[in-house]
Amino acid sequence: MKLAIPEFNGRVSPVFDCSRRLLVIDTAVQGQGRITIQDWTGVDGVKRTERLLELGVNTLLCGGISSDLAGQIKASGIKVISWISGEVSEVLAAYQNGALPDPELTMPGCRRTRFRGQACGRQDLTPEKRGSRRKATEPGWR
Amino acid sequence: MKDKKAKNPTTEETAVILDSINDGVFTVDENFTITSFNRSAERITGVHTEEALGRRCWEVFKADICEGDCALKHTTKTGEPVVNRSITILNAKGEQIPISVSTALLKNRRGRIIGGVETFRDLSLVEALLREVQSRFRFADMVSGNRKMKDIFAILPDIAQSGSSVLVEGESGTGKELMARAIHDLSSRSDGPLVTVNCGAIPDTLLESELFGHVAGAFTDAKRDKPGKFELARGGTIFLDEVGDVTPAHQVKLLRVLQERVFEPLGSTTPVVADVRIITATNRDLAAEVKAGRFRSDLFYRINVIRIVLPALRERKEDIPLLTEHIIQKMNLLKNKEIAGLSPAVLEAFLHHDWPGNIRELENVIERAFILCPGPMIQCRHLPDTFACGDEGFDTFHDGDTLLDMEIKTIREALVRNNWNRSATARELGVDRSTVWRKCKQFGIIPPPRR
Repeated sequence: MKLAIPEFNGRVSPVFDCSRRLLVIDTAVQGQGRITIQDWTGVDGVKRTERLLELGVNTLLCGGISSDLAGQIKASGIKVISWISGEVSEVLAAYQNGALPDPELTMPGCRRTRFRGQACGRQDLTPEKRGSRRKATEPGWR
Repeated sequence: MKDKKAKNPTTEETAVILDSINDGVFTVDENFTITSFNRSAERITGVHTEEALGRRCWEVFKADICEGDCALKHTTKTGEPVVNRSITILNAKGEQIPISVSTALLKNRRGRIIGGVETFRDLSLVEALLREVQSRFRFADMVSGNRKMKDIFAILPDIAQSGSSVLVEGESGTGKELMARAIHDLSSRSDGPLVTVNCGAIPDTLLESELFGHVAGAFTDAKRDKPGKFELARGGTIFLDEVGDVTPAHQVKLLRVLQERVFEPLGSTTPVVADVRIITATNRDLAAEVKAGRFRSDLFYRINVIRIVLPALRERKEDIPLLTEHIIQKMNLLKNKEIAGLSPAVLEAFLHHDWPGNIRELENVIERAFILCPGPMIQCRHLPDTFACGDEGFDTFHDGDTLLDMEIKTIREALVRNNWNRSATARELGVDRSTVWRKCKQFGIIPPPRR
């Protein structure tokens, strides 16, 4: 089982589409898992999906991701858990404990509230559809 | 009179001011942690202020430059502001939003750097409008606002779908190959190849072999079979450029392909079916060539099913600003430069030039200027000597100039900027159209000649 996390300054990279470092964690290896670091500078667009497949990644944990790229990666059979933020070690621990998604490890603007489920990355969730109590004219996602 | 001392706004007042503006604004401390976030920033990013404050800016802003070439980092490192840089950010739906950003340093009263400020503007609507406007003047990779060209663009889809032979006439450099490409791309053969043959560039002795191919042993060096261009274009389109240069001997062979849709490779007796659409082009007046007996009339009528005549650049000088912008955009990408445009003097020189080499010459002149010009505007000194162009005395005023000189220069510059449109010039100068007309007549200001 291989897990990939784009990393920036020790935290989950904010935008997977242009992240420059990828940590690949082989969880089949005993203990903490073996981590390899990939330089992804210059790996653009559809090449990102191809490289993930080449690396044998099963699950991608990432921050923001464009809906097009997320769709491509999912279509290639890789599980995508997106819109995550936080220290890579924290995110990894939460994933291994089955605690994702966690509101504390969610990107700003993407937290679940009483009136909405998954807040980010869903094109179909227009403000009007997210709950009758929301004002469509209100800025932001609340 | 009371001596009122200017008072610095309070934090609350500053927040109200920031919330009232339409651009997104946020500030960061030295660690790039967000310290303020206005209402427009909430609207554009989709992140509420309470969620944004105290977070690292890259997790809130989600821009394509955050990890590599961060504008705020550049400013805090060098002290240089970034102005109107175009980037994209990711919104909460996973859509990439085009925005422009500007940055500046934040200093305390003692002048010590305490962070940075970033302002940003949503360009989604601007880009959508720009695409809409550009699409009216664009067809495939061709750009024009000229009436003749727009008439051609209007019928091009029907021509492409018809599958008939097309003859494109026009001077060298008018975009005949682009036209052939557009016809091919719009046709039902677009999945097939487009094979271009410049008949004028191939020696007469080789033309037959190039077009129809040869079999092994057809001539001394023919060691193996070689497919010709007609075979390579199977299922697609063959574009025969400079067809007027083909000798009468080869004109007969071309005529046979057009009439019977078969050809024989050199040295072979087995006919091969020509499954191609034929587009031809020439810079000669083929009808005149027929009259002079240099071009076969039967071939002319075969290739002249649909005739498109491309106007020379000197006949569509109104396209020069559009074409220039298009070429500069393309070259900025290719050469990784940020040239903004032409100085008014260069534009005027372009409008006065005859352009015997047409758009190809325009492209070459701009490419040359790209090498010499560090940016942002292409100036007269970046043009070849053949251009009558002088930066001095055009967009500047000099010692000894009279008010009348200044008035003439102002009107002339405004006319050039507005492509000699008197209504637009009048709007820019804030006067009546009739005033512009009267002043032009009074000062003898006339637009460049259009042939």
